[in-house]
Amino acid sequence: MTEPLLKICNLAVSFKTHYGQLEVTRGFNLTLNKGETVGIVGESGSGKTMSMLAMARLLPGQAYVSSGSIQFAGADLLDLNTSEFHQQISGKRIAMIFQEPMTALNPVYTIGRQLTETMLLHENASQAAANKRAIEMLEAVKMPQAALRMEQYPHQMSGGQQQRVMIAMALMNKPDLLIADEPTTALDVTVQDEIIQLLVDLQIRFGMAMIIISHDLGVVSRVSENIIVMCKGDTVETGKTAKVLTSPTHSYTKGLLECLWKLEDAHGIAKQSSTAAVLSVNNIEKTYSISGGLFRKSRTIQAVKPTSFSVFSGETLAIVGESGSGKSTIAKIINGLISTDQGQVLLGETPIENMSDKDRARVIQPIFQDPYSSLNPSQTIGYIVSRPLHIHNTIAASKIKKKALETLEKVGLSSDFYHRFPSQLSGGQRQRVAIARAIILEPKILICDEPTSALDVSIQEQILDLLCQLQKDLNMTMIVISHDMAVVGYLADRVFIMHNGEIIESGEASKVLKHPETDYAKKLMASVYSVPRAKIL
Amino acid sequence: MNIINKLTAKKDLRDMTPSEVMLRKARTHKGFKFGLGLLLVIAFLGFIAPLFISVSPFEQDLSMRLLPPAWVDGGTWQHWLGTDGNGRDYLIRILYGARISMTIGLGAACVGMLIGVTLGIIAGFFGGWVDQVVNYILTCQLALPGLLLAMTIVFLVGPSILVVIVVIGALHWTLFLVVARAATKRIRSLDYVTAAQAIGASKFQIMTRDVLPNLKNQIIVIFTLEVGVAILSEASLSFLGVGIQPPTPSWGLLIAEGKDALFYQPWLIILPGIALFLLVLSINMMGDGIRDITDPESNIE
Repeated sequence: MTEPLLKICNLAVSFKTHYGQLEVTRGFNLTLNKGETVGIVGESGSGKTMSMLAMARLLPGQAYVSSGSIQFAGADLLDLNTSEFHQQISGKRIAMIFQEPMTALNPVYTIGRQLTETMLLHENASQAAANKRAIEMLEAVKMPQAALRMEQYPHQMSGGQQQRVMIAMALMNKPDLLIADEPTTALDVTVQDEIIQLLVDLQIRFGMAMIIISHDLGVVSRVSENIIVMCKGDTVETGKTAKVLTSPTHSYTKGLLECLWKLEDAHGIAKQSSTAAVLSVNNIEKTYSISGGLFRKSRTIQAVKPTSFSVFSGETLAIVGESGSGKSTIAKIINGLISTDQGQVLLGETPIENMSDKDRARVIQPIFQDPYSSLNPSQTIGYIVSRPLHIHNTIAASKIKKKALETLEKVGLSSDFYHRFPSQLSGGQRQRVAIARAIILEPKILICDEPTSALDVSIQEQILDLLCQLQKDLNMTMIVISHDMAVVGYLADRVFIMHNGEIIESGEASKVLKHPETDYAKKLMASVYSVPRAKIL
Repeated sequence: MNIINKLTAKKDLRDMTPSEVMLRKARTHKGFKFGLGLLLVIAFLGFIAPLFISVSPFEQDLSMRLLPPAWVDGGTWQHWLGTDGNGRDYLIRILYGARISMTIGLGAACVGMLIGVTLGIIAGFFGGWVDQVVNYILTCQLALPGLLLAMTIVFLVGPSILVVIVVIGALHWTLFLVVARAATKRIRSLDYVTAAQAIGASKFQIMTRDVLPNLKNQIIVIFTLEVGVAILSEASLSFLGVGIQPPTPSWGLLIAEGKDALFYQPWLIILPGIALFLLVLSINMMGDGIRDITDPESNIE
């Protein structure tokens, strides 16, 4: 076959907005042969998803294809009308899987019904034939006890299993092309690895072409031979993955790779920390109970099993674990936002529950994961940053604005930002504001809960640098909660690995990250993809 | 060309505060402009115009009883919209009625908002048994027959504008409560509320500074809806004789007084009916407009 399966020429997608036409991607080209894989990499807003949605005719309401052509198996997809497209192409020859399996599955139908639905509708297949094929596909995606799963509902499965179901559903009609949009981003790292491996296996087994969209160069480099790097709607680099990663030509790609390497390289510059414990945690325990209904028993979940540790002045402690490991619960307990069932947290000598909210606030401050929900949208940056000073009355009212501006400057924001609203700021800028709010009271301890996971790679590094710098300048102790090994390696002096509410491994960051001892820790480290190295140009 | 377009579009978004964005949307929203315009006209006619008309709404002239509007046979340009059963000028009575309707509509919606939003924020913020108690009150309120209760209360306390406002307001807060409670629950779980707790803000500070300002948009929409409902409630109460008392001209009362003459002088009912329809229409259109304008997802061309 000489003709490529998919050929996209000069595709541009535009949005009709209140302010005129806004082009989100332009000049997008892609050629894909049967059985090939291509990876599209870019940060949020780079247009990578939009160009794929355009092909699958899933563009949101105000978006439309403003120019270009999409040739699929010899036919121009843009020429088909909507009903032809749905009958011939979508779901049958082009299938798509999404980032959030939880929202993509219908919670009120069984897995079996959702899997067989398209086959029953479009192919007039018998229920038995459709069931047989669904079980086959569930087995293909390595779902344990496939036949039993058919009767289950989505909520009875883990996130990884749901994503497997989504993949099985995409494969039901033996598509020629599978588009995977951030297929592993919402999953835990150890599960991520399995799903990526599965996609690679399936692609070979079914001989599909595959397009994988991700912000994670590691994932893409593992899966695809060819790569397209996008930035702000433009394609900045395309070519063989190995070549692009070893000898990038565009400055954006180079910058992206440098950020990644820098993050990975920063291991083990352990700071000298004192032996004075600023915070000690003694045997804390937390159990959540989920109240039952009239006829159901209430259940309990032990989020944190009895745990003790100390944090020393000036150090950075990282708590690592997957979702549900209890790491965020510990962070909330230390912050005094939830109470413990057993044990206590001592700040210096004082138990945290004996401190007033204001006293605690002066010692310990949090930074949150999502800068989009951590700032009040109806208040100005100036108000948000200076609010702790208004509440605590530690300095004269006349000096508050000056102090707020100084603090904004410390986090790298000019005084222009003082009168702006959060909606006018980018994610990175918002996170800086959140940091400014946390440090304005000059706390001794900063608790960062996934401080960069909502941010793009190039901005992650800036924020991490800022945190390091501030820690040095203000002599703070930092507790970092994260699932991202690169972030942990960059910041941490000491690392705790948590699993099912317990600390299963602890020690110096360089030791734990490079030579993990427990099986779980080894698995965790093995599932971190590093981008193949080359000499930085 | 496209690139320039894109750049300018982006710049606009970045430089505008949320309120500027809303203002811009408001200027292009047809329904909103129509509703607001109509409302302003009615407000002008009700509050300002009567100052320039020397005719009193209470002056009776029994020789001019039950005149039809001027453009109908038997009408006279001395009384544009005719006269009622006591020979009072109908135009001026309807204009005065606009005052009563708007005062009661706004006043009652304010009373309802005060009750509903306060309870809603408290219930949503504290949750647990507080939420259950508030929910119980809500269920009781929903189970009561509103109009019947209003009639009883007004009958017992004695009718006056203030009593009517308070009674109607006290019976129309459930929508405020439901919306405020749901939105508060959502906001409460957001990180900026946690951040406020972490900097040592008191619960009251969080409720007034973090929760309330972010409820603003939803509350405005409910408020406009409730103004319309309150105006209709006042008309119903007055029609039933327990609202505004004669000779004060209220639209509901005008309809009630006109109903005896329904078959030979229908204008007495049609005219205040049209006035009522236009006022409620303008307020509802404005409310819909505000909903579109304040919704960040909406995109009005």
